[in-house]
Parts: sequence; structure tokens; C-alpha cells
Amino acid sequence: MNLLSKLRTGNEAAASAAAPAPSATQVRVSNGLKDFLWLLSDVERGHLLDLGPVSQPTVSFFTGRGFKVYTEDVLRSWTEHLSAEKERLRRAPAGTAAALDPASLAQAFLDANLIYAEETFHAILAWDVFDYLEGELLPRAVSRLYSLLRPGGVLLAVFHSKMPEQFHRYRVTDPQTLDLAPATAPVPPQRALQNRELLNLFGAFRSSKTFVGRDQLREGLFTK
Amino acid sequence: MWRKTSETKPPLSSPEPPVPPAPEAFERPAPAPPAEPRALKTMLGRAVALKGELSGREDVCIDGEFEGQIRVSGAGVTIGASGRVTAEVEADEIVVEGRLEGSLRARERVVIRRTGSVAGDITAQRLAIEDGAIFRGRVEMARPGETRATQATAADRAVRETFHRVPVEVSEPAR
Repeated sequence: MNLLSKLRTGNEAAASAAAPAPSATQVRVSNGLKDFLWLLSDVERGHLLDLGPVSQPTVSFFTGRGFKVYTEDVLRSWTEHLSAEKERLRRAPAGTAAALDPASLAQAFLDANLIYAEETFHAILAWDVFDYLEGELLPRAVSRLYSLLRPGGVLLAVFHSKMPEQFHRYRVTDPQTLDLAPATAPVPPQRALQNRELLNLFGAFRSSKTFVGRDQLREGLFTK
Repeated sequence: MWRKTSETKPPLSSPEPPVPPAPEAFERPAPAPPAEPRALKTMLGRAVALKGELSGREDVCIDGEFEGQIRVSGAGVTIGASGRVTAEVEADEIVVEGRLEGSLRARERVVIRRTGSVAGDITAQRLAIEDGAIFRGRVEMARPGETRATQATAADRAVRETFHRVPVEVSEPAR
């Protein structure tokens, strides 16, 4: 099954994510966030990239600490990229346009997204992102994020221990607390990464640390 | 035995004034005071498309398409739900309910409603983003009195130049 045939949006994607009925916002004590902030405590007027849907509390939290906050909702952009490709194929006269293979599709996405100068960011937040990225895109995206981090920069990511059942919007409310608000997944989840896969994926980083919660969530902290 | 009619019915030529009808269950509202004159507002309707520079000192509301520059002092700019704007916008307050591509510089605050979609840079003293709003770009909080990006460092400019080369595609908000 190719990527485009798997493209589903809106309610369809939510259904495919086997999402239970949306529940109330959860509050989560985050040791990963606590360490993330500790590692950034010496940074003044830093640059932070948030890869999730924009969140007022998160933006306020970091701008209040002097950061310039960049938001790029990667999963949404990926969905739009797949839709645009689908539309291109639909409009092309029969037999004149070939579907891109998954690797080319992923590369085309990165040619138009996450475009910043190398070593721009002191910090990157990737909430429910990596479990949802397509197989060909995932390693390329991690490699791109690595290049965007400054030496000593830090990436905080969230991984599920098993296939995600619910997509969340994450909000930073204080230095060690996250609010998780249920939301419709832009794309279906792809996998639950095992520890060995995580180590391979983030092997270029100087150090990595994971925090395992009782709620099947793992927080990963990767320092360049 | 059959005299009740003459006892209950008042005489037709009674000298007393007629009994007023029973009061209604609720009182009629007092007549509204004369309306305050509405604040002046420049409206760009949804059937209008305009290119160029717009500057002034009164509120501006854009429901159509605009491309260029908007500079408003002492007032606000609202991009209505059907508005499509590609511009640099500078105002006291900027409210986005539709689509905006470009930079936003507010002396007071920027508000992105849940139907709003912004691709670009925001500089403001305060920022409000409703859940469901779409934002792709950079946020920088300005200190009071700091309205222009004259102090931007070379690194900032490099980032901004890189960022602006990105083709932006924003899906249409639901009508």
C-alpha cells in the first residue's frame, strides 16, 4: 500500500487511530521537561522550535523565558504535502505523471519544510510526532533536526510504549507539568519505537536519556 | 335570585375612570438610549481584492483579499474569517480570523482565533492563540515601547531570510 492510498484526514484519520471517545485533559508531571529546562537554564534569548500544533501556554511559557519560539506543525504539513501530491496525480493526464516512491516523497517534503539555517536552535520540542511519521520520513526528519540544533542543543520528544491510542496536544503549563488535551490525529500512528530503535535513530546525538511513565509514555531527551 | 347581572356590571355612564388593564407579566423595556456613534472602521468587503499599501488611524477590517503592507497607528486590524491577506501588518492590535501570510507587528497584542491561520513572524507584547488556530512561524515578545525590529541581530536576519524562502501552503479554514 503506498503512502497516498493511506492518506486519510479528519474524522477518518481519527477513526483509523482507533481513538476512544475524547476524554478530559490529562495533567502529567514531566521529568523530561524538568531536565530539558535545566539544560537550557544558561541560554539567554534562545531559539526554540516546537513541532506540534501551536499552543498558547507553551508559547507563553518559553517567550516568557526570553526564547524566540518557532512553530512548525510537522504532521499537519505532512498531511498537506500528501494531499498536494495526490492532487498533482489526479490532475495529470492519464499516464503522464508517475507517483513518487516513498523515499522521494519524504525528500520532497523536507525540501519544502523544516528549512532553517544549520545550528539555528537551542531546543526542539517534538511531542506526538515521531510515532506518527512515515518510515521513510522518520530517519530523514531526525537527521534534519540534528542539523538544525546547535552543539549542546537539546531535543525533547515523546514516544509511546505501545501503538498510540489517542493523539494529544501538549501544553507546557509550568516547569515540570504538561497538559495533554485529546485531539484528532492528523495522520494515523505508524509504530511504537523500541529502545533499540530509538538508540539507532538518535545515534548521532551526544547523549540520550529516557523517562518512562506509568501511562505508557516515554520522554526522550537528546543532546547534540 | 337572578339579580347578579345588575350587581356586577358597572353602569355604562359611570363617572369614575375606567379601570386600567392588569399589568403585564413583565415590564416593557425602557426605550433604548440613543446609540453611541459607531467607531469609524475601514471595511474591505469579501468581494474586494486589493494590492498596495494601506495606512491610517482607524480600525481596519479585511474580509476580502489584500496583498501588500498595512500600517495602522492607534487602532487595530482584523482579518475576518473570509479574509485572505499576504502582507506585513503593523498595528496596535491585530486579530486574525482568516488567513494571513506575512509578518505581524503589534504594539499591544496579536490574537489568532480558532478559525485563523498565520504563516509568518509575530512580534507583540501579548499573544493569544485559541485552540484550533494554525500558526507556522516565529513568535517574539516585544517589550513595551519596542515596536520595530531594528535591533535584530545578524543571526536573526539570517534565520528570517531562510524562513521566508519557504513556500507556505495553508489549508482553507472551514466556512
